[in-house]
Amino acid sequence: MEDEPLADLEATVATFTLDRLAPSLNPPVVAAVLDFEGGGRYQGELTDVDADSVAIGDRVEMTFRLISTVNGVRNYFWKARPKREG
Amino acid sequence: MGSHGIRDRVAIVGMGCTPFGEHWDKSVDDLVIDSTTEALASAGVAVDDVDAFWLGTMGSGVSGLTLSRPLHLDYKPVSRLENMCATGSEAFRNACYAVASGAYDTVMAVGVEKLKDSGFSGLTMSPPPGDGTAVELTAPAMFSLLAPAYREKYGVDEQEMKDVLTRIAWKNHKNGALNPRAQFKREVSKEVICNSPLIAGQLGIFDCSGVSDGSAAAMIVRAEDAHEYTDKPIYVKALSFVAGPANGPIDPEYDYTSFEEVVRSSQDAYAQAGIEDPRAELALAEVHDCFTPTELVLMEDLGFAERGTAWKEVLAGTFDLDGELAVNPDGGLKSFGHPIGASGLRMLFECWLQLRHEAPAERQITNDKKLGLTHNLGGAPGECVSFVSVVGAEPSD
Repeated sequence: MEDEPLADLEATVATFTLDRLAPSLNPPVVAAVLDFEGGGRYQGELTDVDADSVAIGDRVEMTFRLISTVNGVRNYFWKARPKREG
Repeated sequence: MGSHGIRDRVAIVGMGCTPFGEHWDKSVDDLVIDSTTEALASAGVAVDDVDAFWLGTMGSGVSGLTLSRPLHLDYKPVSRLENMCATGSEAFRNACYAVASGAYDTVMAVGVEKLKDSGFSGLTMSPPPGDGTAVELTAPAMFSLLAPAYREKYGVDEQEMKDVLTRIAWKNHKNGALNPRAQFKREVSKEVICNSPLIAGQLGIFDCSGVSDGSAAAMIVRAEDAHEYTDKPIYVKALSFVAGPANGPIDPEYDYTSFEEVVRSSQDAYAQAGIEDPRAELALAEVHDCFTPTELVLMEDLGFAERGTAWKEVLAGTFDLDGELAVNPDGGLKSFGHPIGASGLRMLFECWLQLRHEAPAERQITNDKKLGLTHNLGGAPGECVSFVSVVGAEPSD
């Protein structure tokens, strides 16, 4: 099996929601189904985003962020943010 | 290889269903005693005459002891099953097969769940520990993913979609108001539903089913023996259950406007039952309206509406109590409530009442159709299990 790194690829929002109940360090959770350029899908959290402006077809890029803190352990993982121009 | 079904080989001859709701004064034991006592009385059977039991519960007990202890069973076989929100249907399905196989004469399927005592509004599940990176969305959030995808695909604007979802909740509350066993026995105005606090995406609190305690039970015997118990047995026409490959969250081909698991299980069930046009042939359908967008999509997956048209059919009242095909005439998960392990059997209980013309007059369906459908789903869009049954008031020709 070959690794297929996705971290530097852009993705497109396939569908999305704003979860007002889910526990999060950054509530409310803006979650989206993301389809990567060239294939591959990931369901994850958006960050640095205006929750009311998310739409299907939005272009996003991945960013490595703090995702949870459990028993003093800080856990980092990938979130997506709107594609920055330039 | 093949799915052959057991059409007309077994029949339901008794049922019981507790009121669903907040039973602070009842334990799991109390709830299963209530539902099984009613089912036994309904069939005119003593508990000692039941040969084997199937108990469905997602989390309100483990093992057959959860049933054998409160019922003081005399060393009888009791299976305990779990299949997420389709747990009650799974108990029923396996009980039916046991009779059809000839292994037992008289069996009982029981479903129970006690959710309210947790103090948590929703389901408490304990998945195995992971690496802490999974985004744990709530159930309403996962099902809310259907709404933007459906809007985008079929050109439904945001306000139109809100009206459609609101009308589904309004219809199910209206039906539940006519049901003395329902958790929420009152109508709710569209204005209140539409303006209720948002939970996830477009879904407000009134777009979500009731978190509930309850139990339901069914007595099952061979069809040829059914008239020894009742003049009006309900025959099992079809039972279909599928678990999908659960690849929706990783497969860009999945578009969040359908449950393929439901399509497959309904097609299998219709083939078993000999149904060609479900919308025309069914007297009623009890479907898994866990959240309002689910019911919308189910109308298409179950073949009640063409793709992309269910939203218009909902607004036109096609699935109202007095519409072309009554969907969730008992109020559904929305207002009857959703005690997980009991829900599949609760759906059958409404078919039992309706097809025997024993529903309260104000919600009795009066057409001359003889078939009812139950649909029970567990999981989330793109990764779910689905059950469809067809039951009928008469043996087939």
